Amino acid sequence: MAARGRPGRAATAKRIFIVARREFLATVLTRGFVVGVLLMPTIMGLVMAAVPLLVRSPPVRGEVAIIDRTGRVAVGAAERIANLDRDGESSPGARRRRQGGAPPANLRVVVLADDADVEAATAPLRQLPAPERLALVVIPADGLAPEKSPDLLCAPTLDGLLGIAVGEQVADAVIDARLAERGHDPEAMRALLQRPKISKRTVTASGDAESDELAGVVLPAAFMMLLWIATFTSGQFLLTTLVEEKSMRVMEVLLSAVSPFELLTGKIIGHALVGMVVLATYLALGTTILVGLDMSHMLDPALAALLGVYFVIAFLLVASMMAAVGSVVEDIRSAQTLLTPVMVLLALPTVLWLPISRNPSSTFAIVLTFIPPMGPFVSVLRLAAPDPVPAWQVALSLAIGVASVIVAIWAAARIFRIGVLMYGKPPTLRQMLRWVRER
Amino acid sequence: MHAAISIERVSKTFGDRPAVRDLDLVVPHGSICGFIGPNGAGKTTTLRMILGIIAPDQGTIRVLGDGTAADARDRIGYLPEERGLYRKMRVAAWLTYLARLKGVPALGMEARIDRWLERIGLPGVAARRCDELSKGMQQKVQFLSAVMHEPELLILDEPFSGLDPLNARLLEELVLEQHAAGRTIVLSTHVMPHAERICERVFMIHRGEKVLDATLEEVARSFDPRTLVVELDAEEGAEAALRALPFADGVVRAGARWRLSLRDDIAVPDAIRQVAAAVPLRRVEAVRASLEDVFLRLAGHDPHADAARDGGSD
Repeated sequence: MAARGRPGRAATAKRIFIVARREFLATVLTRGFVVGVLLMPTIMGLVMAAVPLLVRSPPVRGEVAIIDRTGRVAVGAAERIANLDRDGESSPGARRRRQGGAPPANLRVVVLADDADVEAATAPLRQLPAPERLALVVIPADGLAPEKSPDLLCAPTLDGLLGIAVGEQVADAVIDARLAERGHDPEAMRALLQRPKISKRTVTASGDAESDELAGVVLPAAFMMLLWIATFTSGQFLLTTLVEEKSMRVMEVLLSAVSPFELLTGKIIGHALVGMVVLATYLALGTTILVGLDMSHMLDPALAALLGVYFVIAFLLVASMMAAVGSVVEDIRSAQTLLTPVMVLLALPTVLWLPISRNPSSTFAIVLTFIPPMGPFVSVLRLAAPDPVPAWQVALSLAIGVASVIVAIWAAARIFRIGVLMYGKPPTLRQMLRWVRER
Repeated sequence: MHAAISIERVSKTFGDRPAVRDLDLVVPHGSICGFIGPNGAGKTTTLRMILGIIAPDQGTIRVLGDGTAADARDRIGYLPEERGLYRKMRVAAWLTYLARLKGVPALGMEARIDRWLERIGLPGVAARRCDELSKGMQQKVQFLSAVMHEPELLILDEPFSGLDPLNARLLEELVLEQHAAGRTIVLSTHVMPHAERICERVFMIHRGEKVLDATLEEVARSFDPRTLVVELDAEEGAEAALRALPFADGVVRAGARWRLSLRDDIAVPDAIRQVAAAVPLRRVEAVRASLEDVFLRLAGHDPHADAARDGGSD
């Protein structure tokens, strides 16, 4: 006969670990989780990361012929066209064209005689199946006059965007020629005409911060939604497993092996880990997108760390509610009925994200920061906005969050202890509150 | 012999409905006890209190020593009446999960599971999903999850419900095997013949109160045979003759047999002699009160009235 010692904290911790491990694995190894929660965003992220690679095509090789009847543009245009990708794939110019969709080019430029016959020079463009000559630029004798335009004749096989890029080079060369004709230095003139980039800054009491519409509104919403998705996905999984255990009559078998506290704690920890997997997946996806869009400067590691802390608080609050409700019902529909009032409260930050992120220092936003269970969501919304949140507000919201988590878990444990073995008609919210107060 | 379970003045009320009232109970170590009682008598509540799943309103419960069940959780096996399995889980994973929670080391788990599955007649099901098993197979797996960690105390709530006679017999054997290995066993059941065959001791609660606590021997002695079963050679005039016997408290016909309840003031041999003189006898037998009779009597039913209702004439 097995002789085992009296259980202590170590035995309790071990049982909690075993429950948490099972809850985590039983959730993340399901097809629904892998496909719905992990695979889809991962595929989306990979596709977004792979798009630049997928659309990358070998450089277009071919010939561009120029007939310059002015005799002043051809050299500049030839140089510009030949150097379309001179700076390589990583140059800003090349990257812009990639984002615009134009393929890289390796073009040879042939400058034909000033009086060359356009018809004869056009013939190679019609050559089948693939013409060597891809474009013919014809600059008329009065081509430097402002109202005149050069002609660009393209082969059917020339990429449209590359055609536009060639045209832009010719147009720039014409401008250079006009400037030179009037005795100006084109380089110096171009520098003078460069549009200045306005740096918009929001002035606050604690310092200046760069202001950007994307950073100001979209990013906070993205962070809050991230918190929402991670919290509610894992909370929903917790609720589902509890309801399943009740309907499958597994609960009492488990309670012969673990205490209600150990079971509840193990479940919450297991599903918190599930939520962290979701959070990490979506955070990685978001990072991939921002890096892909060349906006990685918007990522703030400190904000990501705070997001993790607020996730733990938000998840524990939501998980406590899910555990309390899941322990008293036998089907998801009854659970939804009981959860509706709380869900309405929790949905408030998602409805109010625009006013809050546009004006994150308003009294309304500040007050919501301190009201559980919305606090963590509003905090993340405000923290991700450019307006810095005073440190005391962050500290107070965290303190209130931790205190509310303790109260929520305590109340959930009391409801769980009574509700978990009850079958039949689910209790009302009032009955559940009475269980919390019962000694 | 010291007690495996000791219950002193325990009460439990749900809302305004008392489930258990002032219960005292001692389960001797190494014994096998039947816990009987009608539906809603408070059996499951008592078992749950013993296991610490719910707390009594008052009184003390000691399990396997001076502590509560929470202090000895790994040394107790429990098969609840409300028992299920995770439908999608593999049998081995389920058994491993429960055994690990009960403190069984992971090392050697696979061999242990295979050995037990073999013993309960389910070799090779370890890799199957629980919802692929028949109801009987699932019940055997549930039994395994209660005993696989080799507990000192085994509490079985209605272990035979839903089992066919073959599997019920196998479960009986397994329970007796556990008892032979020195384990204390408490089983609640509605099936009195099972309790009679297996148990050394029975206790019964009715409306939350203990109404019986004795060994089967003591039950047999206390509920002395006070019934004669009589088979007659000729039926004509027999009923009137039997009813005319002064010691007959009740006469009930059950098929080809007659059942006579005896007054307390007559010895059984004397009654048999007088019956033989009064009617043409083929056979007469003094029947022992079955546990079922005791159950029905204590729960407020009159077995003879039931027999009359079932087919005899009064």
